[in-house]
Amino acid sequence: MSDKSDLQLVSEFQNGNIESFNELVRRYQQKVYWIARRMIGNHDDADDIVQEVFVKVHKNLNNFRSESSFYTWLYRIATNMSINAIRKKKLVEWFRFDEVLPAMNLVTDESHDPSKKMELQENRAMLSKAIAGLPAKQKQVFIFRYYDELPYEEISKIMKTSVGGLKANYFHAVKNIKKYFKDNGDDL
Amino acid sequence: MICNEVKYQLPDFIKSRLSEEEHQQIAEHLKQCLICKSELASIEVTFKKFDREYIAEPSSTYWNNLLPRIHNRIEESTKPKYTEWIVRTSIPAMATVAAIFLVIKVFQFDGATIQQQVTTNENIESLIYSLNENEIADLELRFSNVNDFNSIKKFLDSTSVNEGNSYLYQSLHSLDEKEMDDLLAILETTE
Repeated sequence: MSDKSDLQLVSEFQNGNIESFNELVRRYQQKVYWIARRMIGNHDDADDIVQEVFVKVHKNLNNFRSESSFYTWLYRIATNMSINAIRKKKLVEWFRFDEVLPAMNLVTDESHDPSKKMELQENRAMLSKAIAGLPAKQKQVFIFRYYDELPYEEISKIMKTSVGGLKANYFHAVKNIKKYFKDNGDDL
Repeated sequence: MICNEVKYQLPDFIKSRLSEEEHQQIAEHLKQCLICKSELASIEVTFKKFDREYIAEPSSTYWNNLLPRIHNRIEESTKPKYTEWIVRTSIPAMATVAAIFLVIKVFQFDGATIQQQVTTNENIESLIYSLNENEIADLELRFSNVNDFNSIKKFLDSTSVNEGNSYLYQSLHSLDEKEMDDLLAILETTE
């Protein structure tokens, strides 16, 4: 990993250094993947989105001005593309149990107990559906805050929403997730 | 602090993501407010679901292969796809050929139609103009009970050509259905 800042890498790319772009990809590929994966809920679509995000970044990076941080810009692209993908595909049933297949290069569950594994998967399925059912804004805030642990100030820049509004969205996201569990027979 | 301010910070309070000062303020409020305390318990139980969250993670192979795959996609996106090339070139080409064909066909058709129409009109006009009063009277009389092409044809076929109106009958024989209809229409208007 390079010690260079994002903006240094961006600047180097703008001067024709493709390796700087590669470094940005390596630095953020997991972050982007997990934003997409959490939002869209399955590996295949997340894999597609993460590639498309970086294709878009590559295409537009020459026009990037350092008015915002690189990752704010990148996260905005990632969330917008994820939301668009959800809209397009209308992924209602988006969790798939077969996503743990080794053929997809995914790490298998640490648990060797089939019933335990099933329980974990069911829990994951419920959570995924609960998050998927959230309004777009609540979903974004929840992923950024709960999983990525981003400061509200950063989320505010990405989503162009006030910090107060984000806090309210985050709280209501948690409440809606709880409601989803309750409505589906899992009284918390 | 009012409850609304507190409750929006409860998720961060549970995850210890507040400043020390904020955390302290919330803790103080919770000591006195049963509603917020109940809310806190509810969120804690919800978050426990996430603590048990299981999700299949991509392997290191996946991450290692991602960058080359991204570059492949960038390359694909920058060069026009073969199918796109076909669509881009063949459709305009076909459209141009079709347009040219259509224009030629229309002009040819129109030309022929116009020419035919001119010929028809000329034939009828020349025929009418060539008739003298007696011949017109004769024609009207003979056509008075017929009003369609087949009847006229039958009438003409059954009529022997004589000296006085040979030209008329020959001309009438040379007319096709459309021309005969036109002629009948003209005769009707001259009555």
